Amino acid sequence: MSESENLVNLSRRGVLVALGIGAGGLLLGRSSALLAATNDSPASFGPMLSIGPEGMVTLVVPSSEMGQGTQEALARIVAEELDCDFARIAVLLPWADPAFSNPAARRQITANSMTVSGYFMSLRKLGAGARAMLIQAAATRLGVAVEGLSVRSGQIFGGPRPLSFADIAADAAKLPVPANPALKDAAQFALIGAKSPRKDLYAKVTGTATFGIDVAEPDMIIAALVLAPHPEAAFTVKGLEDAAKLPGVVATVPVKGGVAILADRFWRAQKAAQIVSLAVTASPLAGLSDENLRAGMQAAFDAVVPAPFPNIEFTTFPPKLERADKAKVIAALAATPHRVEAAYEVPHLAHATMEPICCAARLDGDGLLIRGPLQDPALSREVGAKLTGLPLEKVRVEVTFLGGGFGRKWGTDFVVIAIQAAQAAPGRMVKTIWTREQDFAMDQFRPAFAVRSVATLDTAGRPTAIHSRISGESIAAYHKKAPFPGFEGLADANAAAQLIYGAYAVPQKLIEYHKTDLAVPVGFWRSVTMSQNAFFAESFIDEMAFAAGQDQLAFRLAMLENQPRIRAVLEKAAAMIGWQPRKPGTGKGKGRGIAFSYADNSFCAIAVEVTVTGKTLKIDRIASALDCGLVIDPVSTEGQISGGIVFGLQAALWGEVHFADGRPLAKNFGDYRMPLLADVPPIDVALIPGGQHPGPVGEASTPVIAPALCNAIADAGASRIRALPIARTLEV
Amino acid sequence: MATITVNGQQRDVSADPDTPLLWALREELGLTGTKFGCGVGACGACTVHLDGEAVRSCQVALSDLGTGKVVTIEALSPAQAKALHPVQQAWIAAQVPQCGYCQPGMIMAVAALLARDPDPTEETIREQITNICRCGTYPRIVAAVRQAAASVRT
Repeated sequence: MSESENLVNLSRRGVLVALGIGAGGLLLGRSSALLAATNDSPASFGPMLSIGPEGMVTLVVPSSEMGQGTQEALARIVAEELDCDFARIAVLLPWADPAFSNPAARRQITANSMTVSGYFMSLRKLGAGARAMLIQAAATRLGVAVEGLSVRSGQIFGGPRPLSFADIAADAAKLPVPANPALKDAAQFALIGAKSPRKDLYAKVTGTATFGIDVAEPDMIIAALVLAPHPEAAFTVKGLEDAAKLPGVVATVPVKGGVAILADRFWRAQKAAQIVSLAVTASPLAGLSDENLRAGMQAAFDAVVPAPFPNIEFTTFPPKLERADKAKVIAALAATPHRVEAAYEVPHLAHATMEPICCAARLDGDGLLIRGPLQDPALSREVGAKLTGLPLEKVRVEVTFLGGGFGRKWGTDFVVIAIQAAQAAPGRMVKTIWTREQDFAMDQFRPAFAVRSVATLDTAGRPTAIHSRISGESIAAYHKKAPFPGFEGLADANAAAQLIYGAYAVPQKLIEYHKTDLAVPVGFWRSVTMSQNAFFAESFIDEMAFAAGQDQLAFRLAMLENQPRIRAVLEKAAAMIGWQPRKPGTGKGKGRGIAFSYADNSFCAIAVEVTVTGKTLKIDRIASALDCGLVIDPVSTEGQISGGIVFGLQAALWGEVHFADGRPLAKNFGDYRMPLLADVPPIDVALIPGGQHPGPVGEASTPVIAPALCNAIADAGASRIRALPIARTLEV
Repeated sequence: MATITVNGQQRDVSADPDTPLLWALREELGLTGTKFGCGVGACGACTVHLDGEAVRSCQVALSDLGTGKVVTIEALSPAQAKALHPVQQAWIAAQVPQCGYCQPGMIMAVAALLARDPDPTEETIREQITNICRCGTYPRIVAAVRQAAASVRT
């Protein structure tokens, strides 16, 4: 790996590796469970792939399926090279196994939009290697040269009669796995890029897909919870004895941050939980309110000296091995009188996955079994081993379908509680189900942030220097992990990276992070760093365009001369709404805004048209253009972009978790408004495919809608919105 | 012990009388296609048909069910039918689901809408379908409903 590739990895992925327990070069280990899961005697082509005696191909898809469609995408990648009949490939949900590690993350985790890009080459090699073994076995069987044989749809042609994979798989599996099998040229791809429906749709429209909440076993116990307002809170418990006497209640169990009530049915467990109360005696959130949260972030700008970042310039793309020269930036800011200044803020956000947090666990003589909706099965396994004292090989973690993940199910707080509940009823499966109210209140929120930015423009209106400072809580700090292994004491790049886009050619840029300790439970949320920083970065650039009196699109393009892929998505999105150049802010109630975000090999722009009448906002249309390199599944990709926009729209318009009296106030959907069908404006998505390698998709559009929308509102002539959600200012 | 009619069968259910239908379906009858989303009737993930109408089953106590006939996602396309219900077919053709958790409830709500209004306008669809989808699959839902409606009418 080259140094620059290494650094690109560090810029986002490194953070996850660091948080998720270092690295660990993990390679092929054999999973006997696969054999049990398929036909009687399937021929095994490594831990993920096997071919049964009837010719059915079985693939264990190593990633978690939470809506992003990677089960389909990864199966296509394997099948494309294997040339099997795609209708006859069955996909299995994974379990925790080092053999299933994502090569990009070096662990089995589904996060950071890196499933397809991370597994792409290794799964192509898996499919191509199996294909080569099948051809070699067929050639030997037929006594012909390999060169004379071809494969199509699970059949090998070129002999006196076609051989099926079923005929030859057992022989093929005995051959050595080729180290570097020949891969197809992208021009030959047929499955990759096809518009056929995903394999998981049938189960999802018939109600037969097994989510974490659907785990069931005879004699299973359900655990309902009573939770304190913070996992580290101290409390006294009342009502336990009465609860234990209620029908169906099996046990009451102390768990991390609360009490679990175990019963034979959820409703009975829940009724018992409702008569238990916790009196909090000490809490890290004691006294916390919206007001002192904000005051704390503002105070941090003066009180907290920003730590240096790891020796990587995050403001460039790809990141460079140099730090900004603070003295030069400050001097540049002082040199020109044409300054632009603005302060922004975004609140805490909830994940609100449709499937409330849940997890099942069973502890018995065989060890610990965890079954649940998990984004990080590897870490869940480590947590299970640590809690029970069992060796890792005695802990089995099976991943169900996830009813949404969005980063919430990356956390293992709920896995810990589920295991603790199961420890109280050895030998029986215990399924812990959080209520929606608990799912909101005990979320690991996307942190709130505040930003102060200043820039200077030259006489032509071009920025010469930008200095942006951000304050708010560090996710890494909350989870007590160093932001980078070996970089303790340095700033958490997750909070601040891309606060000023490196892609913009601006001579001097400086980002600083005033880390704020608030003790609010925080975690990753769809699009991670960009979820806040795209709003800050692209709003501030827009304000500079306003200050310069230049068309917002032209102003951006002038700073993106060396970024053809970003230019292309911006120009495409703008064309989709019929963008005409004019002076910004002169829309007289009709505004259009544009913004983009980017990551390694993924570029997404959104253009929005709005009507602002008095204090009322109407979103007329949204258009998005995406270049994510090679597209594996275009229909699913478009769905990720439009769905990601709806996800981001919720945050932009309404998303805000309030705090008072030391606890979050959001209780259910009534307190945390979600867009419904009637709220969603027309959304058009255009893909600009190209390249040989797929890039990230699932998080590409989510962070872009807020700045595009707020830029459009300002263009309409309304006051610029610098604090989200928009509903604080306008009626939607 | 209550006897309820679910998917065309009389079923004896021993759950407490105040148990929401949602949990009786899931835990007594193993019909887990009906999902728990909020418990307050806000999200629609638990939508089933009660005498042909879409109801949020977390808001119906077993004791209030009486002789009402319940149909869940598992029986939307009857066992004797060879094909899926038109709404389910349209959902696959339009590739609506992402995580899929809300979709059984969404599909049940749409099927009930089409049963009483076989040709709903876009405005009707947008007003009548109030289920929450966190993945944001809404942009494909209107088209899928209209496709299903066309299929139901023919």
